[in-house]
Amino acid sequence: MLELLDNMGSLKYFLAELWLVLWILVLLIQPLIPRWSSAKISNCLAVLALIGAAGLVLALPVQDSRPTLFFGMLALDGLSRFFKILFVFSTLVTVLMNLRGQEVTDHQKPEFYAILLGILLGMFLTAASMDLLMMYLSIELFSLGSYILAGFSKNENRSDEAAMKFLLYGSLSTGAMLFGMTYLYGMTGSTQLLDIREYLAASGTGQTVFFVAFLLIFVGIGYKISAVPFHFWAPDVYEGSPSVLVAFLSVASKAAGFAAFIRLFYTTLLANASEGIWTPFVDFDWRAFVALLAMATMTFGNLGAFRQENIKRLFAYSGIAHAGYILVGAIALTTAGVESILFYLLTYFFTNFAAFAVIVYLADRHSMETIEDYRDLGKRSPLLALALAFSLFSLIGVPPLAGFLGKWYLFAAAVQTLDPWCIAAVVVGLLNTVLSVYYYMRIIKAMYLDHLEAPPLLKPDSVLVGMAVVLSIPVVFMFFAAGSIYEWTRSLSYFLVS
Amino acid sequence: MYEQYAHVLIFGMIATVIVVAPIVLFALIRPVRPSSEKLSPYECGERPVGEPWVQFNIRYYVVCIIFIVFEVEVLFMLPWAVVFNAFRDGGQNLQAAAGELKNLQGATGLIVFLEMLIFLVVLAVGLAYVWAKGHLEWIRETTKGPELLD
Amino acid sequence: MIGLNHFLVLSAILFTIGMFIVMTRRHGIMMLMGLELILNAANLNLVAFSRFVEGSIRGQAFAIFVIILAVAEAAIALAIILSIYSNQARINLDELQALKE
Repeated sequence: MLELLDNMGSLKYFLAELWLVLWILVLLIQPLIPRWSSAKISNCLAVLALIGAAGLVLALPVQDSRPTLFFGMLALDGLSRFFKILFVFSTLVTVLMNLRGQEVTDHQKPEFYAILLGILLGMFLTAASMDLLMMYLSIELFSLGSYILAGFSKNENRSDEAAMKFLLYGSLSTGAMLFGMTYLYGMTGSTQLLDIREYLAASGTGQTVFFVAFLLIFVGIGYKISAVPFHFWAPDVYEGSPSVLVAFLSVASKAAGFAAFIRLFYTTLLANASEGIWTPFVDFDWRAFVALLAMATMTFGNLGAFRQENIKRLFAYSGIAHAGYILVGAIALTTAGVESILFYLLTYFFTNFAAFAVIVYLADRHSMETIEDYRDLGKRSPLLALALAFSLFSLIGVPPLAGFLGKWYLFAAAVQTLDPWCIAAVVVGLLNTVLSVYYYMRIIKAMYLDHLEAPPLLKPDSVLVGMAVVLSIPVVFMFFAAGSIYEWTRSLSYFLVS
Repeated sequence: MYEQYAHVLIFGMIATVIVVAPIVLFALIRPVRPSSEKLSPYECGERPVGEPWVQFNIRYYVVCIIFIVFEVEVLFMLPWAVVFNAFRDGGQNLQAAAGELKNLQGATGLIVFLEMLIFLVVLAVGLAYVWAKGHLEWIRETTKGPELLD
Repeated sequence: MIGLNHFLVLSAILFTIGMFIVMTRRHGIMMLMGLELILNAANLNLVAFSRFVEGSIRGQAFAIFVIILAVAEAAIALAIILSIYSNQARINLDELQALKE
């Protein structure tokens, strides 16, 4: 049962977004007032804004009537709720990592936070958008923000170059996506996803133009989730950008891409989510296409990571490989598939941020970016090394860590369909897991087995060490409550049409 | 269907002939005595200074970027102003406004006006930010304050 | 009469030219121009569909938002290009070699 809310009626469900807009303005004005312009105050304001936003998102009333806001522009359902929670906490972790950071200098901080909140706003809207216009605008909003932040390291040629490549190829892919959307609009006569769904269910997707449109739209979304062959930006951007931003992009940007993927493809194409039936394209096996893409993404990601010396670059390839694993859940096309994607993103949130708390600490404070720099970390900083080791094992998928649970549900959802393409993707996924052991173990070997004569001392940073420890606790102990956490994601995996 | 283009074609051909014919004719009958003054590009009688391919001052780019604030303002205010007429008297005129507008019957002129006001305030903060950071000054000290662009 | 197909063919041509420019050119400003062509091809599609298929202003409203986004994108790109130019005096993507395999 759907309910259309008008503009005034929608406002009370839109408080988190309005709150963010308010704080973006506050953060822009704050450095202009001389007495208030210290970096400490911007830190405080950003943390306050995010805690408030998190509270507003969590307090969002759960509706049985599943209203759409602003005349069908935005959805208010479990999916948007889950992703908003994920995004707001990703941003909060990013800001906390940046409190004493040096890559983003003190006088840049207000701008950095304002743009970061803008990105968060774009992601909120992406997760909820039910209209092609809204989806395009919100994807562009968070993309444009991330292009700016990618170039934020001052006097660093790498950062400028990363931003330039990110922007030019990113705009190309969203331009292609927009072009595909115009065809979808022209053929169905509406920009509303629900109208498009009705049209496609009634008349089928037989015409070639629908295939072209969806393929072009996939180019834009594939770029955001860094799926092969749209992955080439990731290594350069990860290496050149400020480390905190890389941590944010690796989790939140990927999640936002998958939010758009689920929202757009599942809403418009999936006639019946529980039975997993695509409205078929004539002469084209869409499921085989996604399966091949997933397999290619995993394999390229893992092979690319083999010869990397720079740890941020290595994590870029690792992120590509994980995008491939998550795509396996998207081949399954069942409710279980969506649930497992959400659960995997949750485990990936803890695992990747725990790893990045260590990486940010070493790269930002000590300019240590290569695997060689990580030698003997086990002695120099036992807590950090332990946190990184656990998250690396979790990324490999060693039982019973969080990453293993995520992969387990993902592959189980794919196998349950008994579709040959799903099974093939799972087999390739398992082989890739074995492949990935090699490069993750290289870091662990450097940390524990390579000893230095006189290891340089590390200045302690209580915030980042604390965050690494706090974030790796769920990574290690999630299996105690895996069932109930999975139930929680299941309860949030419904969306307007399911 | 394409016959009407014949007019355009004939028109184009005549125009081409009128332009090309005198050039060819004069080239045939005039004496050829080139000098350096005759060959130099004509700039309203002024003596040409420097190369035509000069690099523009980098400040123009900054002004161009700031200009976006106003471009956004105008582009969104124009459609708003067209629609606003229908809301002016508290929605009385709405029956006259057909189509898309019937969705908005709850809105009154005041709300529509306030929506635009909020939009303008957001833009004004952007402009104030640029102003306070000193990017509206044409000549400014390079050491003063953080720069927007580097 | 000029119909929907003419607009669609024109926009497809514009899109292809834009794509080709971005793929082959390595000059930052040139690539930006290619991007503008792509976005304007989409705008042409939107306005044409709005006029010939749907008969309402939805597509035109979409086009206005796309214009704004194109401008914002160009502004950010210009700012980044300016920053690169003032740091390294280069605009050509092939000459930027700090990040490589």
